[in-house]
Amino acid sequence: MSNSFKTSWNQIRRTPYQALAAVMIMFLTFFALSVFSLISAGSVRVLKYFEGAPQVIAFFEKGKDIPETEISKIKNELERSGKLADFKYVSIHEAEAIYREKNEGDPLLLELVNYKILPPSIEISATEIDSLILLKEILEKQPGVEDIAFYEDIVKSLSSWIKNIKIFGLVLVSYLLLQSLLVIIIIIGMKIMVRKEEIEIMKLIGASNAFVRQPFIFEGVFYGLVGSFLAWASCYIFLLYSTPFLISWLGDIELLPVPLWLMLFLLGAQLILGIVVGFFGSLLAVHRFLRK
Amino acid sequence: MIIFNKVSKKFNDGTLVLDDVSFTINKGEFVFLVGHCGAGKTTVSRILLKEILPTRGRVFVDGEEITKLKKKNVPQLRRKIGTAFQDFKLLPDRTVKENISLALEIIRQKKEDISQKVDQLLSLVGLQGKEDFFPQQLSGGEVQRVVIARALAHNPKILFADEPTGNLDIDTAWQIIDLLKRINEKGMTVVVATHNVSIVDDLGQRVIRLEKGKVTSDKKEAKYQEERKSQGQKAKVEKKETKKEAKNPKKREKNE
Repeated sequence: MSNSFKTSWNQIRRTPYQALAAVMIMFLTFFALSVFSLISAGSVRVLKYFEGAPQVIAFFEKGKDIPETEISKIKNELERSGKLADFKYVSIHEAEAIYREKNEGDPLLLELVNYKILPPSIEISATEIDSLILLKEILEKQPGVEDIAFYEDIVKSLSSWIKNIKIFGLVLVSYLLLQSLLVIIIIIGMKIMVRKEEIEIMKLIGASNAFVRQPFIFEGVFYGLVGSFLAWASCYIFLLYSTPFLISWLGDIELLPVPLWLMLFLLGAQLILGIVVGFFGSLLAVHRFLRK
Repeated sequence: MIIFNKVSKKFNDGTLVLDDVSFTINKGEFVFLVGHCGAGKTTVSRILLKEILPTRGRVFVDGEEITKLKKKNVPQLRRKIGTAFQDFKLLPDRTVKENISLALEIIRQKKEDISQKVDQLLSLVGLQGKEDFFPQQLSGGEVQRVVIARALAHNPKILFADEPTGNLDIDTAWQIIDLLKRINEKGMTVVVATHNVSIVDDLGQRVIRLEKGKVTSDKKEAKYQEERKSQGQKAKVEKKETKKEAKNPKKREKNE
């Protein structure tokens, strides 16, 4: 085993540019994989944030709170549908407080508006996006409802965007993984051709296929490991560097900083994938040669 | 130890290199396989290593029919036969020690055992102090010794030396033959393929002669020489008698 490691290391040292090319291609693949994995994880959180936010708001007559009995009646009717995830009544005083909080930097707006001109509202969210229409229809039938704000389209288009991002990421990463596999096959194949005579001699004096194969497999795994680790490290450094900017850009959505466990999970997954790509790339290259 | 039973080998281009070759080499024997270039000596070694398959016939090594041997068991067969190749097959970028170690690494020996074994082999072939030399820094005889040391590294049952004296001066050739004899005296079966008839004639060992892919004789060389001598004498006598008869036709008639 140690001899195979030594042989692998010698092979890498003797052809540094080929080794660099292999590591670079692995790096690019796994960098793309890191980025799309993080975007994917982030977009799921963003979608959850929007799904968790009120999706339908029913506004009632301005300056007049709805009696408790009426609120309970509406809530019961919505609950009977079985699709209600969240229900919140916002009174005119609460509406004023929210308004004041949002516009505390603008005295003119604060002066002009008070609870008397603000409507009470019921904010609801559904268990599933598709159920929003049903809940909206129930709310529309309630007495005193003057207007309804409905976010179905926004959430749906967001959901569709995320789905597309995921598909695009998956296709791109699959393409890059295939490309990495082929590059490993070519590079290891070239190294085999360089050592063709040596391998033939080894086989003539009794070397098994496993003995011939081992150093090349270690080499492929080495490229996979180094490439995937460098990609992960670069991605993490880039993410840490841009975290302050991204936090201000994302606003209320609590996405950053990315938890350490997630990054470690990503590292583990990438290292395993790197080993798999390096292993199979070199295995295929050696298999092609030994089969002849 | 080695049985060739009616073995023929015809290459794809139609060349018949071995034609119905049969011989048996017993354990511990020292055998010369003699013939001119192209007689089929190297083909015998290639068949023994299962580098190529015979077109017809059966080959046994150490009781196992190698013609039916599975591909995965070929390394085991090759470890039974230490081969000193005609073209040496040493790795030019590795030292003497590394070249010999390779045969031991292949059989997964421990590092310390490898070092010990290499020292023993270098001492056996008389190459102490040259372990860090590269093949191109050695003389022809020394290279041949390295090849023999590597062939012996994994304790094979058979040593097959293909033209071990080729391109060597007569003194060095004798040193190599002496080395092979010493190895044989330790109990190993040694087969030497050579076209160097002068060495064969003087050693009095069993000789299998190959000519154009056929075994033309298989006997102890001393016997062969005696037979050749006696055949020669017989022929001379017959020749003399024929001459006498030609001079004296009456005598012939009387005899008849």
